[in-house]
Amino acid sequence: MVFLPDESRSLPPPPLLNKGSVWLGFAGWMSALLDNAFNHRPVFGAGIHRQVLLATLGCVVGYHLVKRAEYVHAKVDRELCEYIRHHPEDFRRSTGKKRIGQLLEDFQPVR
Amino acid sequence: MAAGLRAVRRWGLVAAPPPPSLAFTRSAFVVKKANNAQPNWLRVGLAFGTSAALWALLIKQHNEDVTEYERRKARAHQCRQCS
Repeated sequence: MVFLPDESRSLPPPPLLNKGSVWLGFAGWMSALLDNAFNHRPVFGAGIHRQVLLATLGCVVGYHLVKRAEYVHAKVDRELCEYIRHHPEDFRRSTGKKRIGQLLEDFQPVR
Repeated sequence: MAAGLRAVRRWGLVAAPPPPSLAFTRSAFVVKKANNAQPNWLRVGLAFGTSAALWALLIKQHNEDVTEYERRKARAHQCRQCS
């Protein structure tokens, strides 16, 4: 199974820093900080190359995961809309639809 | 993770007695103490280089995605001959 089929390129691509890439980049950075803590190194000042590399890896993985998620959601939406289009009798808007104002009683303020 | 990798590298560089056949153990009998005062500049350079390459690839991929999407959108509109 292909991770990103060709038709996924017809979708608008997510921005470079989207919720997935920022979150996973942050998680990668945190794992570098944790590695520093577990090895008794200064947490923020040590291993800058490690922090940068893991944050970058997180951003890359997050970006591609978000692209895949948007593709899957768009595919489901398309199938749903196609089903609705092919079965209009099941989705007819009932003509006798009441508004909520008709169902409730009139408001009588009590003072 | 890095500590385990450091241990593996140390097995290869130092002509120590052959370590036990377990691959990623951190037994105190075979691993030397990490020296954080002298950075391994090769590994630092590789890490920064890889990060730069990954960002370049990611930005290039994103720009390619944007141009491909615009191209397909233009082609779809052209086929339907709408405004």
